[in-house]
Amino acid sequence: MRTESDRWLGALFHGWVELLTLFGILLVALAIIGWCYNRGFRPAERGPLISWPLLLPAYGLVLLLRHMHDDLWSSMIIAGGLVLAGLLGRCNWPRGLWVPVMLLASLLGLGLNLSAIILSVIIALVLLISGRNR
Amino acid sequence: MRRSGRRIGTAGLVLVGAVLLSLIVFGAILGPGRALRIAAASVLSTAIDGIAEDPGGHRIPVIDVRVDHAYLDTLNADLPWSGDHRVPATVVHSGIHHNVKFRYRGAYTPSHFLGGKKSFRITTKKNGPFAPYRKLNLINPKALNMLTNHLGNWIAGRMGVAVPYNEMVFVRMNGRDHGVMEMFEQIDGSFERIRGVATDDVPVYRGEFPPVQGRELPKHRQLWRNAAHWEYTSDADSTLAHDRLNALVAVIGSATMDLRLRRDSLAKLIDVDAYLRFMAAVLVVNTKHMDQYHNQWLVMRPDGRFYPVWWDALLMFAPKDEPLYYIHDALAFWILQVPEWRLQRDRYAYEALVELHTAGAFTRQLDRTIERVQPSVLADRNKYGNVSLAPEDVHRFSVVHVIGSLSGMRTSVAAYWDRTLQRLRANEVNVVRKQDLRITSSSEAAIRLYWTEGESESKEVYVNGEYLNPEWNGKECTFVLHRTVKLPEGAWNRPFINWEHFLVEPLDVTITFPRGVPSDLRITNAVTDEAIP
Repeated sequence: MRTESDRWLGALFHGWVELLTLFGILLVALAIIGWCYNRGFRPAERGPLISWPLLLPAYGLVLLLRHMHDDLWSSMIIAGGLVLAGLLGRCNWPRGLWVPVMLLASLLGLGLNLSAIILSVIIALVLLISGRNR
Repeated sequence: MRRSGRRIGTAGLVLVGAVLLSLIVFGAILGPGRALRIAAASVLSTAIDGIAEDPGGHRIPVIDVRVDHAYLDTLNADLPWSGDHRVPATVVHSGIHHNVKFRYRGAYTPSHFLGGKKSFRITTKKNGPFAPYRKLNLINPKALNMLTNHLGNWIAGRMGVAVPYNEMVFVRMNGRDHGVMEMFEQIDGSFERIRGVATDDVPVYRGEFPPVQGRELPKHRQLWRNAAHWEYTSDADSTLAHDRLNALVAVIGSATMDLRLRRDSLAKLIDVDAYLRFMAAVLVVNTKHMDQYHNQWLVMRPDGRFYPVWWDALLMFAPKDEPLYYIHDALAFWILQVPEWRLQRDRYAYEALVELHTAGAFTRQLDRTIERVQPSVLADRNKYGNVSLAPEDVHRFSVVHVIGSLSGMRTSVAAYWDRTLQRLRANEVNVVRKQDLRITSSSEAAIRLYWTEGESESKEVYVNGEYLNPEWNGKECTFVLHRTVKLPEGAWNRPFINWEHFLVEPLDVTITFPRGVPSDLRITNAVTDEAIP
């Protein structure tokens, strides 16, 4: 009985920590990107560091892709996520960030962490460099 | 700005709360140590392993296995009890589809059937993809470094022990990565035929836990208690082999036989040299994974003597107290009591340690192996193993675990071999030459004496008053002062003791040469042949 329950509990805990880790990675990436994005605005115009309406669908995309091992389905989910992000990004804050963040989430969901790190850095740099134009 | 700060603060608090709640709840139920290890495995495998995106092509064989999902689902639903059900499968090798039989395996070890990388066995046709081997176990490596078994096997093979075919491979199952596994030949009557030693099948016995019947793990049994505990796994005629095995079991189990008679009887039933090499490898590999209950094989030579085959002996799966004379089974209990056999075993072990450790052969092999498996380990996102000491904690782990475990293995192997070499080389010997020769020693190695016959004009020697006839090696007279071994205080003095060892008693002998102590007397460590000053 003990072994049986331990088996389940251990697996549940491992999965739970995995979800938290992914959430943490995405949160940190969005916080950095959000901070860089806000540098382009005057203090009074700045928005929140992390946009929850952006974070939640991005996290959803990460989770979906993590559990989808079929290439075709993964491609369709990414495409759908990007189209949705493009539409939402036209009228929701932070404008212009929805598509890059969804791309970032796609990379994380596919387990391409290095690409996700590089993309985050590039997004952050681009936001810092182009800050004055916004 | 203040509003956004508040939002972040609330969300952050919710997140931190969730993390803390999970840690408290799981930590309380699982215990803090286990919870921490599982959490570390999860965080590291999620965050770190994805950084190695393109580790390069595999340098180990890739095995593509295809099993119908319906079959897999059926087997998975009833593990480990479904382990004896075989289903049809296909192995794609060099573009050719080979029909094989597939079954899961390993009801006793959770890492075989829990988690996402399950061990299995494939049985091929005669000219299958892995000919001449027909039955191959694809095993989820037991250690986090994935190499302990593979390297243990390599060491034993290098020491002249019969070992099964063993290779690190990368398995793909139904188009998805299953990961790095160990491919092991399943031994049967063809063991010698495959190696070109015999033309036909030979008798082979398997010493394992009892087969699973029903849905319960049967009680363990000691292999040498009864010949029926050894499973015959050959098509060769078993009449003579059964008789010889019965005789061997009788010799091992006899409580009355004196050591000399037992030694001579054993020498007729087992290949002593093969067993001494085997036991030397047990010392060098430092393993207790072959024991009274499992991981044993007996192959019978044409002359009717049995020899062992190395099996699943994990490198540095160390017995307690690091004994020099570990009793891994009932046969070892008697072999280690025969002084000249014990000495020969020590010499084999020393010879191997000098080559493997001092000359660096093991480090070179380890580096070569790591180089070969590295891209595959990096590509393997399905690494499952025991992340804590609890057997049921089979979870996905990270490449960080692999690196840490490899580093730990390298260090522990070097430290253990240093200590063992030191023990075999130790010459804490005190020699007092008067009319007689008094030798005392607190180290563990046997001592050899040499002198030329001419000077003493007699081969006659008395050790503690007992007459001894020394050997003549063509140049000198020589004999060995063997050490006396004893069981630790309170240990059961029977061959069926579990995981016990012999201790070496201090030496204190007086040697009398009737015509005086020879002037050219030389004293050496009998294991290393180094002179004792």
